[in-house]
Amino acid sequence: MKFGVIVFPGSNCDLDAYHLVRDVLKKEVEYIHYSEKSIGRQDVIILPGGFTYGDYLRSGAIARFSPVMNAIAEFADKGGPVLGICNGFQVLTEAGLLPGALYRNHHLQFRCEQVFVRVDNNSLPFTLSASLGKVLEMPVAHGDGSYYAPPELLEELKANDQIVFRYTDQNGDVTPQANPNGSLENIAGVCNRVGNVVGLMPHPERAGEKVLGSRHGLIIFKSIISYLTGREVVRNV
Amino acid sequence: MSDQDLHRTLGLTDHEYKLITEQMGREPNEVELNMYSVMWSEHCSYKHSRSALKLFPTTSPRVIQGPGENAGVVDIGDGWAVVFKIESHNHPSAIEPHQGAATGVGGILRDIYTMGAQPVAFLNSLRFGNLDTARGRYLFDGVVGGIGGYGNCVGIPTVAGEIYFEPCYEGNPLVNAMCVGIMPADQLVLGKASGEGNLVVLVGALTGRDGIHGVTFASEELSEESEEKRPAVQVGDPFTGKLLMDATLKQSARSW
Repeated sequence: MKFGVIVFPGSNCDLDAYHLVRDVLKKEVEYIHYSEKSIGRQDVIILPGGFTYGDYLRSGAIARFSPVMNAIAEFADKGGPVLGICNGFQVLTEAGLLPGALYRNHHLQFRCEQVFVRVDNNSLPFTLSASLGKVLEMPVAHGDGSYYAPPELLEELKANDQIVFRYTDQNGDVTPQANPNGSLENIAGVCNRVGNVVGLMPHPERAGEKVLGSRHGLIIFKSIISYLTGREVVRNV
Repeated sequence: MSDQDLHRTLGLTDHEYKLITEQMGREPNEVELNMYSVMWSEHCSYKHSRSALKLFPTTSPRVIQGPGENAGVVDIGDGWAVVFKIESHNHPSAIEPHQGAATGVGGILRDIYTMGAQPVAFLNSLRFGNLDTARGRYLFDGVVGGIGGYGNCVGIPTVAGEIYFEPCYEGNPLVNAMCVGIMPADQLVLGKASGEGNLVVLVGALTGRDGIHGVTFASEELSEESEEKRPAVQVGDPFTGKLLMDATLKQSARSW
């Protein structure tokens, strides 16, 4: 089982993701440079957080044109699991691999704090180990995290069960106070139609060790490991 | 403009100009004079504050590198060293708070990674007038935004700081930025080179018409006319700063 962490110019949570996979999950992991035209043999692709191209122009707007993005689109098209975290989420929406867009936070300020998110779809490769409605504590650190989708798209997302995470309070209730950035309907993360591509603004890779204050982010990685292990078992039968 | 007038415009005294001609054995040309004015400014040479700075202790068995390099290095045991430096960006922040503070952070970051250390934290010490005035809020929002914006973009967290508000800082806020890095003690890189015939490669962000004579301006008294020197404040480019950091650390062959 192999994880690939994409490194764009300006990525800065690539080290965090790499560290979690290698040192906490004890799985094979490698960095993949943005200029690569091929991603090689990978089982999971992670687009990490950071400030690709300094967020100049618009978050993720330049990184989506990186050579590696074509290979990622092909990988996703074949059903390969892709996880976009924070800036990685922004890159995936800019690339059209995920629906919607991430606007400037409604209060116009950068926010770095612990938040709670609720798992609203636990049937995906990245969430199957969580119970439905499970509340996870994870950090956010962003200035452009306000999720938006036009009304017809929002209806489509709901109909297809593509809203994966919502900002809630500790009890799992969707409240305005629990929304750190003005996201539409407290949406913190979404998936594509098939469900193999997931993006979220909070940082599960920074909530994987006790020393970091929460280990709730691990459930997302454990889900994908279970999913891939199951797939390997099926393949071997 | 004669060189006599030019050196004064550049913040050099007549005595300093005389020293330059003695050192060079001739009159400096305009480029040389400009370079002297930068390197002999208070901001770069600490010529006025040096006598006071000398009062600080700088030697100990744990001090690997004291003053004179890009940053100080202290042995913290187990083969590791901590690298740190603090720098003021008061005048630039007084006339262009966002960029003034941002480039203070960028400059201090550079001083850490050029020693071969991975920067891990920013800190700051700030002084403002009160927030009841439009100017007070403009300075405060700009400085805080500049520090946070640069740090976030390069991916280094601001972990601590201290702030006080007193009317005396109304005109001239104090903006001190600090960066801390860690490194294996035996991998120290110094800003020195020896040997003849070696190539020297100078790298940095794009230069523009911004920031010219920023250090000269930063070493003068702030006045009513200071606002006119706003272009002397460099415009920060944290994205290129981040690439420079990554490239420099990779070049130093660190296994981060």
